[in-house]
Amino acid sequence: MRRKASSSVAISLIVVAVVVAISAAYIGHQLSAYSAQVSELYSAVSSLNRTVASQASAMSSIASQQQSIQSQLSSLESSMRFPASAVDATGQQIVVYSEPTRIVSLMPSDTAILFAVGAGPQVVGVDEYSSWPPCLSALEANGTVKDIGSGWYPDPEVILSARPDMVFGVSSVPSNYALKQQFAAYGIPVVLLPDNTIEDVLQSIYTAGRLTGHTGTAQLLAENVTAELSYAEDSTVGLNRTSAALIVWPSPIWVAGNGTWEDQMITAAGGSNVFSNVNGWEPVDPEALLAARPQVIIYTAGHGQLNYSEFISTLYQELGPAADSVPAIASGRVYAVTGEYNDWLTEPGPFVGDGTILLSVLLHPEAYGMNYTSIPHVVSPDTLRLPVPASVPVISTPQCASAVSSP
Amino acid sequence: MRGGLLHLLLPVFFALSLFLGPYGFINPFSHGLGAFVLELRLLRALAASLVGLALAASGSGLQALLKNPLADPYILGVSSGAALGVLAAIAAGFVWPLAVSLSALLGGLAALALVMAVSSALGLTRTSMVLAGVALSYALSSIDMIIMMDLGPAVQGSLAWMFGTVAYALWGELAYAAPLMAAGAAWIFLRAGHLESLMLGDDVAESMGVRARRLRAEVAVASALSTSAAVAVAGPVGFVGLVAPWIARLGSGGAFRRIYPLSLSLGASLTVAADLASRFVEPGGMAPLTSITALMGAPVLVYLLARWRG
Amino acid sequence: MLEADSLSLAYGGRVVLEGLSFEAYPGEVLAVVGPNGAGKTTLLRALSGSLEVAGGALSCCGFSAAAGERLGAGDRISYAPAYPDVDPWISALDLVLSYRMGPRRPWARPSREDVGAALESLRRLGAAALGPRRTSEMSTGELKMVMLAAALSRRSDVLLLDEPLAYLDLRNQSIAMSALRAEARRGALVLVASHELHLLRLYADRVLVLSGGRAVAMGRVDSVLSEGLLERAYGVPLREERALVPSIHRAGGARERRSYCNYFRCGAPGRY
Repeated sequence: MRRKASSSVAISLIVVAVVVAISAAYIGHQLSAYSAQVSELYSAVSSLNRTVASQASAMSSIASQQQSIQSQLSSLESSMRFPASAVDATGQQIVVYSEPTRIVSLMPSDTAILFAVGAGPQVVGVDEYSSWPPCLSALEANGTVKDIGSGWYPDPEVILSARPDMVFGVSSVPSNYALKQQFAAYGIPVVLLPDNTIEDVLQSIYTAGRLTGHTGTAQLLAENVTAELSYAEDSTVGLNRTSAALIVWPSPIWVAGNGTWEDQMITAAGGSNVFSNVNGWEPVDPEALLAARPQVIIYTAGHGQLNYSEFISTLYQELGPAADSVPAIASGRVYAVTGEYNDWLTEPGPFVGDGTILLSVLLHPEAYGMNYTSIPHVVSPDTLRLPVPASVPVISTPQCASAVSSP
Repeated sequence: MRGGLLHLLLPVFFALSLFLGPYGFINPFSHGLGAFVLELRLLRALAASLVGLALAASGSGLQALLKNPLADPYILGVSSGAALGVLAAIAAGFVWPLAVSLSALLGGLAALALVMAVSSALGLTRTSMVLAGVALSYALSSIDMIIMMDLGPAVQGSLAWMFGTVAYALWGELAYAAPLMAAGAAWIFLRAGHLESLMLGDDVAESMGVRARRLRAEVAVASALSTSAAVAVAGPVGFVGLVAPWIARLGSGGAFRRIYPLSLSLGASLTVAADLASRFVEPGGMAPLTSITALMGAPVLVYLLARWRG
Repeated sequence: MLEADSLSLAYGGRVVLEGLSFEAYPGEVLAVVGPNGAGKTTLLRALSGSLEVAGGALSCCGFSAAAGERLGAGDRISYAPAYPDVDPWISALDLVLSYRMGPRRPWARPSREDVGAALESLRRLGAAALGPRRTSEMSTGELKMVMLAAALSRRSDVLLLDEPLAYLDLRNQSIAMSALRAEARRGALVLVASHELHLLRLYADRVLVLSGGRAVAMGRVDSVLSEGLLERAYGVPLREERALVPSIHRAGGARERRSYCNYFRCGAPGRY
């Protein structure tokens, strides 16, 4: 039996051992399968990591490719914009090979046009009288834009100390011509923009846009101005023309006559200039004002130098009691235009369209469903809102960017 | 001896004029924009020197010729004629600088021709020359005013010209105006002996061989030549032509031959100094050269007069 | 050396002198007298070359002038006017120097020799102290002395002096007269126009009397100047106004009467 017991023990031991061995083998196999799985998983994870990394680098390479494409596009665009050439008011062709980054403007109208076509960031110097856009004073305060003094009698050295690569003047000031010839010797183009009529304004917008690399914006702006002019004309079509006098200075009485943009604006706004027999801006006798009998008198009062009541008393001083015989004075249709509205009328800038709409409101309030008694004597952006629909593009005051390139 | 020292003023002011300005000090060896501004300063200083020299020559000659201590280069109507030429050009649309300066030159010479014609008919005496010149000046000035009123805003630009400035001088202008200024001044120099004899009395001068009538014609033309050319470059700069001969006379003393070169040099110095000052008096704008020469010259004149009296 | 032959002179369109014939020689002082407007200054101006000859001929020191011409004797002649019209701002020394240097050579500067000669000339006339003074600060008499010094500074062959003694005080007149005689001794011809009849015999050798557009007498001072002549030439009754010409006492003899009665209508002898 002992032999039987030991053999059964042996057999059970062997069975156990076999089971254990099989289990161990199985477990081992499973383990190795698991470990193979784990390492597979591990390699899968690491390959996934690699994929992510390569995807990230692929993304970043795509991003940098995108950037280089963008800069290529913009240099392509500017190589399409430049070299640019345009003819200024003197008939001289000006060729610009690269985008001007340091522009000096000698006249308020030039400044206004430059900012309106989007060349504001490129402007580094303006004359002492430039006041539009209103953020200009902030730019001058922080030193981005330099005050280069008078545009009527410009000092070449002061202008050059702003290190310009382009200067904008106007064709009606003789000293600008001398500057043009002087600076030509160094290759700084002095662009003289025409500044007498509304057509001049449109031409200036186009020229300024072309030479500063903002053709598209300029085109849009010119179209907007034309649209505004058309709106003013259409609003007042068929109405009897209101006779008007536009007075730029009260004593002696300086009026805007034939050949000025104010005259054209009055006509486009459905009025007729009583002083169209006068050429340019000229002083007239008080008797001439009495004889002309305008129905509306518009006075461009600057930015608050002379107010409405002073203007009226000056008129009474000059005309005497006969002042009451002037229809405009008798009916109270005498308007002193101040603030930004004043610039709209006094500068041949990108807001001539807005100015024309303003004039049409003053001359024909009935076309807008208003009564002339509801129009205040002091006309400014604070006291009179232009009743124009949203479809009519009124000029938006440009924001001033602070970017400026170093000389 | 003292007169010799006064000649030094010109190179001193000339040098200062090259180094000082709103742009700052410029290294003479720099390139680029600085070199261009330096060139502009050189042009300005040269133009100012020549203009001052020409006006002083004209003033000296006329003061001696007309025996009038208050004579200035414009007494024969040259500046009104030049102004008329300029305004006519601007009104007609010829606004390029060369056209403007040529019109000034022609206007000045035409005015002189008219004055000489009228005065010739009256015997070409000193009195007839002065009267014709003054009358023409008034007549032309009134025409100038009428044109200025008509110009509208462009009148402000022409006003800049009226007050005189060398800031807008061009090499081309100097090229044609400088020989004329030099010729006028040289011609008067050649007649310096005759003018000095004229100071002894007309009959004494005639007894020495000076033909007074012919001398009057010559000096008037020479003075108008240099004055017109000066006005063509810088506009009608006043006071220099009147005061430079006086400072020479009071500061150095002596007869015409001796004070003439000194008055030329002083005229040049005064104008260069005034141009230099104008850059700082109103930087960015334009301070009229006439006012500054007056502000600088008048105290010197008063001082010299007071010292002479005492 | 100086010769006028039927000389006529006109001034301002008016004939002032006609038919004037005379001669003058170096080394003498010739006085020219006559009423105001008789043509003394005109004659002097013609001789100095600042007036054209209207008719006849004029010659002096190697130059001559016919009708329509001026006598251009240049440096040989020095002229001093009756009333100086000089620049008020120059000094006396400058005046003399300018005179001495003349109108030629615009670059000329007074040499040391010029300055020395000018100072000497002023000193000789007692006007050395006036040298640095401006002409506007002098009296007319002082200015005349300076002008005289200027004219003498050139040491020319001919001196033409219009009223050199006018405005001068007693001392200066004496100095001037001595200077004139000294010039004559030097060999110059001195022509003097004068109103100071009583001084003529002190410095003049001969006298030429002009009246009514003609020469009415010429000769030595002593022999020509007589009461009769002067009465007729000047139209003044000297008998009653004897004090006017204190040194002229002579009533004039028959021979003189004959000579000047050629020109004047004379009444019976003894009647003036």
